[in-house]
Amino acid sequence: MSKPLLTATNLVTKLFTDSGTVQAVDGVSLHIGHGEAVALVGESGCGKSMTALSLMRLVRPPGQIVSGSVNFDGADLLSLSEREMRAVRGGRLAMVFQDPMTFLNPLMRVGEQIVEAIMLHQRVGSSEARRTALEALERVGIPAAATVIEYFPHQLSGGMRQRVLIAMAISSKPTLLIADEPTTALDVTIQAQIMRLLAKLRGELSSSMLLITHDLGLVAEYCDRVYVMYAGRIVEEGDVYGIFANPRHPYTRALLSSTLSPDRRIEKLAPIDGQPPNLITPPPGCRFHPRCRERMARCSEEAPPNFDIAPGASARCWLYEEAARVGAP
Amino acid sequence: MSALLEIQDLEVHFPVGGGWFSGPRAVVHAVDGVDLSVEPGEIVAVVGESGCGKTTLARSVLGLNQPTAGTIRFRGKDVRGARSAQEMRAYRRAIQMIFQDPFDSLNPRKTVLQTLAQPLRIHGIVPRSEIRAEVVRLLNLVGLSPGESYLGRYPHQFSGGQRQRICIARAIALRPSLIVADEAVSALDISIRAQILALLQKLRTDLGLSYLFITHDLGVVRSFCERVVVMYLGHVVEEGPTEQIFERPRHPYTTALLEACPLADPIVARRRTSAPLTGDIPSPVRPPKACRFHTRCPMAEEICGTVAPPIVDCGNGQKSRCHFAGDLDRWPKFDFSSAKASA
Repeated sequence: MSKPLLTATNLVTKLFTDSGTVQAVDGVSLHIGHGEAVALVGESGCGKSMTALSLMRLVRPPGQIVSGSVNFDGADLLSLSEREMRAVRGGRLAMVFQDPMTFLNPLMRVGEQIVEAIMLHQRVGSSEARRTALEALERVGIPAAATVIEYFPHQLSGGMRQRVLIAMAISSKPTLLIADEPTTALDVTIQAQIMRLLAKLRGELSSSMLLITHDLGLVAEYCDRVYVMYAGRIVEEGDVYGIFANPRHPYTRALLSSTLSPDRRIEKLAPIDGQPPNLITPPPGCRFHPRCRERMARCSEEAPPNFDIAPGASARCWLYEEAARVGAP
Repeated sequence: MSALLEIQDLEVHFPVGGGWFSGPRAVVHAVDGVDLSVEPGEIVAVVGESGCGKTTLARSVLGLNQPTAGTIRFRGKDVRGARSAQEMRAYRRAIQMIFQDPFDSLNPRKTVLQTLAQPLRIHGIVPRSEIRAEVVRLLNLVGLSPGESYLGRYPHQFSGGQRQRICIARAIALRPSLIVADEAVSALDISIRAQILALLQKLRTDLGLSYLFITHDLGVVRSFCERVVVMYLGHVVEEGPTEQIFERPRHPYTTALLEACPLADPIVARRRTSAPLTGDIPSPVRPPKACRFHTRCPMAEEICGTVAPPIVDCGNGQKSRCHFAGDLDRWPKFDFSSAKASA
């Protein structure tokens, strides 16, 4: 297999708050191949957004990346200077967030904002940048782009604002796009438009995508490979068909059985009890053990390592200790 | 069987603007001629996207905004005709609500005991000496047990799911027959959402409740609701039994919504090829003429922009407001389950 585009190894990010240290990202390792669409899925507070911010080095106090490494296209991102990092971020490594209004300046016309981003990353004059901006707006399916380029953000609908942010992100032709819940704030028909657009652009630019989401439906439809995160740790990894057909980790199974999809009726809901733990004082051992239906005595004492089950499939669960040993060469 | 709640021709229009600075006066057609009924013990979903009027509809049922026209009957009695305070009180008691955001809907300065004791006291549900015991019973009923240990706590000491349980306890405290739930599980995480839905299911059986369930989440609708009402820009465009609507939608907007929904199955999800709806949802201030969906409808023809479609009865309680609802040949093939069968 060729070298992945991005590899994060043992990433640890903590939030040093007044009420204690939050172990938000606790030893996360993941990789994203060239042209691949990878999902990082989990519930709120599991650390998925903090992982994304860590990858882009956008963690702000009280948060801090404590250890680990992020290799992106041959460069160790965590050791770059802030100036070098700024060239990567928004350039080859671009991002789209949940709430476009937070990331658009309400007092600037959308065109100026895209032009600003382009001129920051490419050596072009303002007229050239404006042409690129117009092209980008057309590319993301904004009707009458020449008019919209003069609009202020408040004159656009939520879906159109998200398109503007995507236009800004793709104007630098990124090799990796990190999309953190890009459609959570949108209506379902608009969500479908935006997701199809992201998939289409990814094909055209042959770039990779890391989709951060809680929506297993989006994962099923748009991603090749999946990381499932729970309480700051990745608990399962696998290709999308395997994860949905044969989930290994009890948490993944619980997540899938709790997901209500419009293509099937579940007569009797069988939810898991409890709620995700507080990451200031996470439970000892496996962090899922208090809610796990298959817990064993050792689960509360010893945190399971990541067991490789099949090529590209692994789970952080003691159930697979044996399988991993048999499967190992 | 007579309906518990019956809404006829409900119309809620809001004036906007008309001030010095806010431009000429206009009217938001939030709800425009809606019929809807809920039978005792039934769970009815109202689905639609932003601006379709589903929340305005819910608020009208609760008496939180004044309809411009139409009638709302509860157990056969016209709610707006309720003149005496006593009648109004009985109505308010029989219909309770649960909102989307359990953070905004609990008073942060009141303990759980205070929050839950207040409605019991106002409506005299139990003698004063028994209020505490009743609150404990309610907490246990919604899965916050042992209830005693939660009495003195404040909302900020609870997680989102627990807060929604407190809101549910407050809603059932008055022993209502109908609960209006406006996006009651939308803000919750997947595993917590399933817990709350299971709780609502159990309470319905145990207490004989009906729900008017306002949501945009079609996955929840399919597993939780018996009948669906689909709204678009203030109109009901389709309604019918849940399974029938999901297997054989007869309005292009319903089809588009179902097609747009992410499915938690990579094989079925990737087999879908239809293009998503184009364009944004039009403004309810100037909704399109005739069929309100015609500006985005993939099946639209000239008639759709000139003549308002009639309500077509598609059998078994399914009704569609589309000119072509009865013309089965025209209908694109749509079926999640057949997609699965050929997998």
